Amino acid sequence: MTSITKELETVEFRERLDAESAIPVLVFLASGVLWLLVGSALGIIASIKLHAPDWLATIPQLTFGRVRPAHLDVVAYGWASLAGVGCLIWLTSRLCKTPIRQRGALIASAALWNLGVLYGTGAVLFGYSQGVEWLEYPLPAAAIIAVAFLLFAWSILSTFHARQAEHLYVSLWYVIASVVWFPILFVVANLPIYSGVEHAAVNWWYGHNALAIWFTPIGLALAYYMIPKVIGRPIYSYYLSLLGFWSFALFYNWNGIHHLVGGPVPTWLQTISIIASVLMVIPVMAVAVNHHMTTIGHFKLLRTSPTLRFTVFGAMCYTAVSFQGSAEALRNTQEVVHFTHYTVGHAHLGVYAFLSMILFGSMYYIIPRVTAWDWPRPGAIRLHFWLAALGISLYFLALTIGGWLQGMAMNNPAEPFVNVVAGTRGWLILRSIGGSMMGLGHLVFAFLFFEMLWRAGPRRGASPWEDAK
Amino acid sequence: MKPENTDRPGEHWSLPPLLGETDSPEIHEIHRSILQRERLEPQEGAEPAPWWVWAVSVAVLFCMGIYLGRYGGSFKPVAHELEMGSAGAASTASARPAPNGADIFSAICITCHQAGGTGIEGKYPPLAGSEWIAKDAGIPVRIVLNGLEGPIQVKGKQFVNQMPSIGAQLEDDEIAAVLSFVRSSWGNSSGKVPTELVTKLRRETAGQGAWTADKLNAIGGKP
Ligand code: HEC
Repeated sequence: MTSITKELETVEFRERLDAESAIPVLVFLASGVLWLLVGSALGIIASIKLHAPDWLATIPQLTFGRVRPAHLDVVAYGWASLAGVGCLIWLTSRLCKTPIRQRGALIASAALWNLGVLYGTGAVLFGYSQGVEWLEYPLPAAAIIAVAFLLFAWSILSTFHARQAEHLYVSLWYVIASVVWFPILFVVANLPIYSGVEHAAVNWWYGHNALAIWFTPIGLALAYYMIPKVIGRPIYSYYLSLLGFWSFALFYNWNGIHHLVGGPVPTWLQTISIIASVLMVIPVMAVAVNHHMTTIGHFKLLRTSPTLRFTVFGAMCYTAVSFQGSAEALRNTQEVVHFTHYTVGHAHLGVYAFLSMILFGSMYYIIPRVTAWDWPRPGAIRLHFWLAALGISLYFLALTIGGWLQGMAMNNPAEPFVNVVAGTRGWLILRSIGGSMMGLGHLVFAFLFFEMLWRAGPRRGASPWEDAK
Repeated sequence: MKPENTDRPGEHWSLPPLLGETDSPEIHEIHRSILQRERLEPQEGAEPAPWWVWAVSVAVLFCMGIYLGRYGGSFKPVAHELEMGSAGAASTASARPAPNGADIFSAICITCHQAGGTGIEGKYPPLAGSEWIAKDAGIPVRIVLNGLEGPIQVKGKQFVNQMPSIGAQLEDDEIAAVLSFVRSSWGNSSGKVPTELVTKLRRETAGQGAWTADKLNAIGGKP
């Protein structure tokens, strides 16, 4: 047995795995990067409109009510999903120790997925949104994406079925779980059969679960792989991995209704979702301790490995955003922050500071292995990191402080509403600055990415600022 | 289990020719060197989970159990009822706290009459210092119950607009509370409005459309 395991670890074997997954991985990653640029542009436009409301106000397609959901959909279904799928394909093949299966299905999936996002986003911009947050895409677009997802799931499950690995590493638990959970969630939530309060409840059951059982597993699967891989030591504790995964599976799916605290939803439903949100402390603590104890003593690698730097930043933000979320679900906090910019800050701490940073980190690791090219320009990678990290920090702080003050002011009956609105202006401008820094970082990253695709840029070979010597 | 690669020993697996430089032995060399620099595939360590992780988990579960008992709303399909009072359903009406006039003002009237009851010149008449609310409490009660439209003079200025009827939205004691608040704020100093007056007028004016200034004057509440 051990000789086979050794065999599976050889350079030749990994060369083959990478070679077989290269095309699907690159197709998904390239689509993701393009959607990232589109999504950033939409996000920055929406952000600026909040403090300069007359800007572009005469073009119906670019009014706030359309640009803002279009931004969300593009970054969620375009960037994060496509880049996430690209990374998961590579990861699954590596962890199952077998070449990726159903490559044709994957290419079809990428094509359909892009079509779905293009169609859905176009529909939103031209006024054919379903008007339900996170589920704006009209049914045909959603159906296309559902088919694309099933094709992807088919490939992952076939690969899993053909696995040669003896032990299922924790990352794989998350991948397999999300690949089974998400299609069910997506289809059920899109059924055109809900109305009224019930629709609102399904809406947020979906909205939060899109994060809970799709985006978060992507981020955690990648973090669980990249951190020990780059450092070169096992993950700290199998028992923590188990506790983290099962409590995550048990509690996270109940969280959604905390978006409706104070709304006309049965009290017990709100209470249960608050409880589940607080119980998320358990899986988050388990993951945080596991990652921290693995990294401890190796923090100096953050200086030389872009993968580790981005991934550890993301993993720390996972802990932060989750603890914040547990506190935010409580009724007392909701009284202040509901309907304020604070919530938007929280959302970006999750999808950007946690998920997107881990996606960047993983892509810095994966892309050289599927292009056979070393990243050129370490300086540009550093620039990307600092633009993204400082940009999201400014963004988050501005909306968190500004949103809290906004909530306090809204609760004060003596304060006229327009004063409250005017009071958010400065914070919103800071947010636009933070968002633009992130956008600039994405341009740098996209430039590097396409250099890699062309195998262009200075040849470096082994040098500092690279992953694991 | 037989690893799939063993049947083709030493074979080169080509990466796809990318957009730039095409596949070549040199590219293989780069790929190999990247893979050689790689560390072991991640594995699971066998450290036990720290004791305090379990302790915190149990503590959080325990607290949330209490929270569920306290705020579970007895699993009834109603919103906004955190706990059921001991008297059960009967308690809902009587257990409602006395309405707060200032809160009702900022929930409803403030959108038009503005904070401080200043109104908006030419659109919404002021409540601060208005002669219409000062004298007979019956007049503002009627306005809130049934609405008001057409020309009206307030503090020497003319307004021609309409105010919707708010009677259906508010209970009698709530109307009494908000008007008592209005009549004693921002320099106004007329007395409290009793709930019984609202109840009486609601009965008497049932079916009445929006008032006009003239009709109100005719009733005798002329300022
Ligand atoms: C939708 C806007 C609106 C709301 C809400 C509203 N009002 Fe009015 N109110 C008006 C308008 C407009 C007039 C003048 C109508 C006219 O021109 O005939 C008016 C007139 C009045 C008057 C008589 C004129 C004066 O200034 O004294 C009183 C008293 C009054 N409102 C009290 C209230 C109270 C109390 C509330 C809250 C329970 C309230 N209104 C809510 C629009 C509103």
